Amino acid sequence: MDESTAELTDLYHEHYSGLLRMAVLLVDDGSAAEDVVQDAFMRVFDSRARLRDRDKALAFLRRTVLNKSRSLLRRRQVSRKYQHRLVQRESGPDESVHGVDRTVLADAIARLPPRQREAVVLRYYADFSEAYTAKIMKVTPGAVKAYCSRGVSRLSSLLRERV
Amino acid sequence: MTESDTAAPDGSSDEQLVRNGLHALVADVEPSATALPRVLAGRRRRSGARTVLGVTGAVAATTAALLLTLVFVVDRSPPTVPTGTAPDSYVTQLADGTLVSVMLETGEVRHEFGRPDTDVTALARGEEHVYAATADGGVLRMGTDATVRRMRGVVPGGEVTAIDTSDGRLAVASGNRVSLVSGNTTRRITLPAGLVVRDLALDRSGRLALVVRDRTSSEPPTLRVIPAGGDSAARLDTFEVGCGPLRTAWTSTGLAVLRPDECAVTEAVRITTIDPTTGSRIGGGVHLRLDRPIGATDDIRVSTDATDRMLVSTTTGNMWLVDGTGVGSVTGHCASRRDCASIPPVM
Repeated sequence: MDESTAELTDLYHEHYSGLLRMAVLLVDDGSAAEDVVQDAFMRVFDSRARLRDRDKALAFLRRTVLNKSRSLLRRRQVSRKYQHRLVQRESGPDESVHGVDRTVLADAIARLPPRQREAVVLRYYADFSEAYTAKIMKVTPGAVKAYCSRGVSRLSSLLRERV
Repeated sequence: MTESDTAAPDGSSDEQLVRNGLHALVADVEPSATALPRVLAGRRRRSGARTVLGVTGAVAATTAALLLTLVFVVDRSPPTVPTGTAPDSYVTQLADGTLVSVMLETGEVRHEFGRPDTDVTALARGEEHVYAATADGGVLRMGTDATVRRMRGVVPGGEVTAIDTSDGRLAVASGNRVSLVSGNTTRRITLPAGLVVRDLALDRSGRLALVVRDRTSSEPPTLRVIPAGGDSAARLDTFEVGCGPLRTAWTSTGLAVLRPDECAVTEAVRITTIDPTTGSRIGGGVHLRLDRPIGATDDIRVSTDATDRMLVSTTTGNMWLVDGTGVGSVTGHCASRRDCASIPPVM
């Protein structure tokens, strides 16, 4: 096994699941999320610098997943085929998470404006700092703070509406 | 700057509600079983394409300079080689008790999964975790971050007699009972009293293959298959297994069955692939001569990877990799019994 394959395999084992879950929250479709993360992993070692530096590789993966998720949502809107797949799921008997129906929660997340959704997922799912979230989203930390504040407020009210 | 250079969001009940909700919403999202092979195959294609682009550019520049050179750019893309979800490695227990994954080719330790505080009797390998059945009748789940979690309520009886995992599911056998664990759900299957499950294999759909022995009879073990979602085991009668199967594992084409080549000669085994619905033989399989006779089912193990390669491993530390009709001896950490514990490694 060559060096890049070994590095890629290690990266996969350490971060693939987390990135996949982040992508699912960003695009609300498991198979599309898998495609997004697969593509990011295939590109990660195009640069020798990233091959040598694990932090750079991971930062690249996160940025790529975010950018490709954005592109995917944009394409869906343009083609007018955008559908909230999670919203279409029917609630089963085990669909309750912490007292909130999964479908309601997925619906609420999907209804957030894109930037608020990204900020909320990066801050509250991935647990990134404001500064790091801002770097990945290419906005200012103040903007991240505002997105999160509005996103959480909106999510809470949407959840309360539906619960 | 790192991802945690400022405090994580804290505090308000709304934030906590959102945080809990997001985590719970994707808690059961797992990569597909083919995710890693696809990444590696895509990486190889990409690397090959870049090589071709570079070569083409250089040749074009030379052509422009010389004006007279005729160039044929040969596609140098390497063939796509399928790779297992745990590419080229197996899991074993070192002599000091640490569970590790070891590279097949080099014998180099790739990951350490930690050291159980009790004797391990059998191993099963998932995509992200290793499961270890313990002598005290439990099952441990161990991760690459060396976290060890004791799984509660999954062992249907006392001693674990067989264990396997596939696509996020875990199957554990104890005596005549089998537990099938998927997420937070555990389904129990009970075979008739007197039967003992000596080995089991779980495929991606949730289908189970069992090697079952009847304690009340001198008959050789039999193969049984439980369809996904089913709760009864249908015996596969049409396949003549002679002295009975020892071990079994799923492949993409059927069910690989490891059995003694002749009932009286237990240092030679054969792996045959059979159709799990009819029991008919798909492939005659390969013959293996072991370094010493097999005394019991626990002395040998067969496991497969996503590319249908099979690893035949023994408690002596010797292993063979079966790839199609080719058989190669695996060297490395477990080439000597001194290096590894007496549990057959799994791929």
